[in-house]
Amino acid sequence: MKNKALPLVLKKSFNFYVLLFLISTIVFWTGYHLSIWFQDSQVFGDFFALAIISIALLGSYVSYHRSIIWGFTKSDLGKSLIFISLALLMWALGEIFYFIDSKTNNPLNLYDFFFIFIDPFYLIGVYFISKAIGTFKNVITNINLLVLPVLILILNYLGLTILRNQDPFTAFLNLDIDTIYIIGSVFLSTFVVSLLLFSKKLGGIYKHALQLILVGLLCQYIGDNLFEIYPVEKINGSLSDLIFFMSISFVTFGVLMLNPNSLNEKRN
Amino acid sequence: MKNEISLIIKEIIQEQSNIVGSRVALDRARATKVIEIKGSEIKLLSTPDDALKKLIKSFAEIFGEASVEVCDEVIKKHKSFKK
Repeated sequence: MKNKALPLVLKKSFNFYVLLFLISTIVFWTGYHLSIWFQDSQVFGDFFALAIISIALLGSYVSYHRSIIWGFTKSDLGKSLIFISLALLMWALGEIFYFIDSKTNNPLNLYDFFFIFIDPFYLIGVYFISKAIGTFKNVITNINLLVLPVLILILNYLGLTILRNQDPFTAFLNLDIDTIYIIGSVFLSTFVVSLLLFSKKLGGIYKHALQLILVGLLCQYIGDNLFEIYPVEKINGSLSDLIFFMSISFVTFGVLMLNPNSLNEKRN
Repeated sequence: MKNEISLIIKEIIQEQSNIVGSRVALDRARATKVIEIKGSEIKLLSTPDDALKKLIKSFAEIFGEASVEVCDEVIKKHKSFKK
């Protein structure tokens, strides 16, 4: 018997199982950390790496598939989904290499080669979403997009140096690859915040799908910062990993909700 | 008047195709049940005003007011036509 009280997205059994996977992984993560209080466990770390790889691959495949339906390279939404698909693929490949490196203690850090592309691909994806919903037609948003990144970047940098008890000037001279992740994240989050705050005209049945994708990208920013504040060396299942897992799941779930059939179902 | 509205409808579908892709844009136009599309030809099965209103409403289901704005811009380009 169908439950009419459920939102449309939950009526789809596949979406329901993805949601169940997301919730059970979060519950499992919380249960694990509460029960033995941050002790290192290889099996738990392996499971978590596998969960991230699975959801990122699923999201990448669904995004690619949806992009074809939404016009692929010939439409803004299609292009956006191509880049979201690429970002999620970079997530999966990066995590696979991170997992291999954690087992072999490979000093090359090959995963960085993939992880470094996540934020730029997401950023291009968000740019095309903005274009699709007409964000750039708003002058105030355009000004915000110029001013906010610099402002948030400075605040973010000062905040991180304070939390790490570092001198901002000395820390600036010792910039590493993790700083590049933060810069990418700041630009991404600025775009996302501007979209969430200033796209008042966004509506329709895909409003929540786009908002969920944007919330997922904000989680990416939080995860990047948590990784900077509490760095872990090649260990899976940390707090930042949980946030990254939620980020990828939200983006995947948002893309799943971008189902063109929903338009016909609504009409029927 | 009818020819101008047909042109406006064509342009709206084209603009929406650039945003959501031609498949979804054409589906939306057909879903109004008052617009028939054969190749590049557009046939209106209702009054021009009604067809245009239903088309805009159909696109509004996608992204709400953001989608309507795209339609309004096309209409504004045709200065002689008043909504």
